[in-house]
Amino acid sequence: MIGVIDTGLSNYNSVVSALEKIQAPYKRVQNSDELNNCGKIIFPGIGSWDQLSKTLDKKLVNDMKSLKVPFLGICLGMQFLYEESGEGVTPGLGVIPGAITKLQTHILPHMGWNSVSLLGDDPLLDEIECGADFYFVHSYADQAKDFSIGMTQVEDIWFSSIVKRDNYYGVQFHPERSGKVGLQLLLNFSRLS
Amino acid sequence: MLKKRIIACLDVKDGKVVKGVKFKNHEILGDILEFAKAYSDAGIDELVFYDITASPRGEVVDTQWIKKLSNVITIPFSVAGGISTLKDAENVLSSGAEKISVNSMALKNPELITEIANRFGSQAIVVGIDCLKKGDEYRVFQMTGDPKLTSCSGRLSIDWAKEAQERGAGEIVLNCMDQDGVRRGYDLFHTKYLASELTIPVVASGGAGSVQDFVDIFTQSYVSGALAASIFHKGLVSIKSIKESLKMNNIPVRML
Repeated sequence: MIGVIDTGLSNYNSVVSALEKIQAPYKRVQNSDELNNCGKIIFPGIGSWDQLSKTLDKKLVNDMKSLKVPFLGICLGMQFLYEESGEGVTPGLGVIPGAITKLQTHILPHMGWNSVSLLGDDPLLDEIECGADFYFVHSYADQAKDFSIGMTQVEDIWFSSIVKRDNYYGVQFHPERSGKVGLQLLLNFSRLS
Repeated sequence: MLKKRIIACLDVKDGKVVKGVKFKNHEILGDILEFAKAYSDAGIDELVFYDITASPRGEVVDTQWIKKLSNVITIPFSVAGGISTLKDAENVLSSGAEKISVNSMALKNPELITEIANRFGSQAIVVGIDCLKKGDEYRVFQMTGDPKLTSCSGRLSIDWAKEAQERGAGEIVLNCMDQDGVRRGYDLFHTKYLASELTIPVVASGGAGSVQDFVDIFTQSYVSGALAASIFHKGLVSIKSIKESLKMNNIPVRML
């Protein structure tokens, strides 16, 4: 059972629609108690950093830091894995060291389909071609790239589009809006043990 | 590398996909979900659903079809038409749309752009600009969904685009109305100018009639995407043929 965290602000519906398409069982998670019995957790996010912090239940945030099951943060949900962000003042989960910073590109937000270069192999990336296009929409990113398993270039800047540290994964793009390849990634995640 | 986006706009009226010429004489083309699925399978990069009934009538977009749509397709889509409050924006976004697009309502209340950007982030808010050349200048028009209510806002399109950017808009869709539905090509001159003056993505709209029009807009301006409606709905050109031609012209595109 995949627990999908619903912040009220997030693209919860698009994510669960994608899980229905790959026939992965899921349940809505809105507080700490509902984390129990979830074999995996997805944390979707859109919106702004501080709004997300304000909306999330404090105990839930605390418990999200010490999970042992596979965890997937999507977009803002990925950024929230880090210690801090240039977009806001409240701290993130800090399960990945470092900070999220604003992309210094001429055109911002980074919006549209962009290719992901895969580094090494990981079960999350099964059947996904190196260079496959995913849908991005964001202005901040992890540009330190210390925990990247996928990287993407916009103008002359490279950032982490897929990260992994222990059981925590993050994707900067929206797999739920990235066509077949996005569904493949979610399927791979649902099969992790 | 970031790909240039080919975007199909589906004008929605009373729950059906319609298309008019120069924003008038709408004809019914078919069912929303069927259109969306067909476009998605054909390789469109993004879809825009523009509820042309909502804004002039003072109605909010019906979210039932947005939820159904979100369940069917796996590519990004935005919804436009009649979004006049933060609550409307939340309803549409939580129903599964990636972005909302505001046009007449933002002209009436520019603060709406700021509020939506602060709450949901710039990436969620697109400002649609319908402009028409008056003398030597391009002016913004409002309520273009209904010819009886259409009027000039008095603003210059470049000024309004810059204000929208300042207020936190994440994208501008520039529709040059002279070109709309007549398929004589995008307004290269004005689109090129506007895109070069802004630091948010600009999408060209209005006038696409051939594969060459897409090649022209991407080779001659810095737009991030090109939007079209009638040539797709009528099957005059295929999305695949557009992308193949763009690729031959060294424009990065997403191939299925």
